[in-house]
Amino acid sequence: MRLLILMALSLWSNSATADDTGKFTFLGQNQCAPFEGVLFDPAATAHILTEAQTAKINCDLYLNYELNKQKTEYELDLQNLTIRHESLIAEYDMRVQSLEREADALANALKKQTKRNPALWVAVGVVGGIAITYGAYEAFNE
Amino acid sequence: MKWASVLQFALKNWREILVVLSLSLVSIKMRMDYNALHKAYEISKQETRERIDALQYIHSEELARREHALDTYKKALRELRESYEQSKEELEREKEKRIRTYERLFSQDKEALSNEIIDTYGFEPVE
Repeated sequence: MRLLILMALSLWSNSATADDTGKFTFLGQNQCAPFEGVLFDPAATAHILTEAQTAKINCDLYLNYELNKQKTEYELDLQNLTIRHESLIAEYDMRVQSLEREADALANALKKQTKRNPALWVAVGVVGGIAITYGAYEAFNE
Repeated sequence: MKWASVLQFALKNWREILVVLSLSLVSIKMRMDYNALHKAYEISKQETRERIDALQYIHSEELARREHALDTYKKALRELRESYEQSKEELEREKEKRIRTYERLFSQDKEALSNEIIDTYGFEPVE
């Protein structure tokens, strides 16, 4: 029975130590110490030491994480801009080729149109006028 | 006999025949011009339609690529987050280990603990 109680106490004591975040108190001058200050128990001392020693690693970890995150964001931005750029190039090429095709086809189609030759039309007009005048003269003269 | 009468009719009405022929010529030429213009219009319409199709294709391609890039970005972020969480957990474990070590040193090796305090903070030990 005693053994069981001892074991239970021992377990409780261990768990209490594991959960212990540390204790501290203030000391005055010559109050069991050569100078006034703060007294930390072993757990608190261990925490203070460990926090100080791991703070830089923690900071580096967070810094690396944030930098990598930013890098990934910039990579996405760059990729989006590249995609946009390539799309614009493709669009430009397509437009140019299409317009060239259209211009060629229109030129071919319009080649069949009557040519714009003002001198010819003036000549046709003059000849037509003479012919009509002559025709009218002949008609009325009869 | 028949050809002679036709020739006679043509000679007699050559002016009217000339006017009719001229009008017919002008009409045919106008019709040809109209057909050419109509063909040009059809070509222009077809090219515009093809351009619209090509633009839609390019746009859909761009959207798909952007979507893929966004998926890659999300995956990379997730991996980064997981890696960061894992590193933090490892650090926490390392901290716990150190805390236990220092607690043990407090009772077993005070000089080593003292050296740790001096190395970490540069404090001066006092007896």
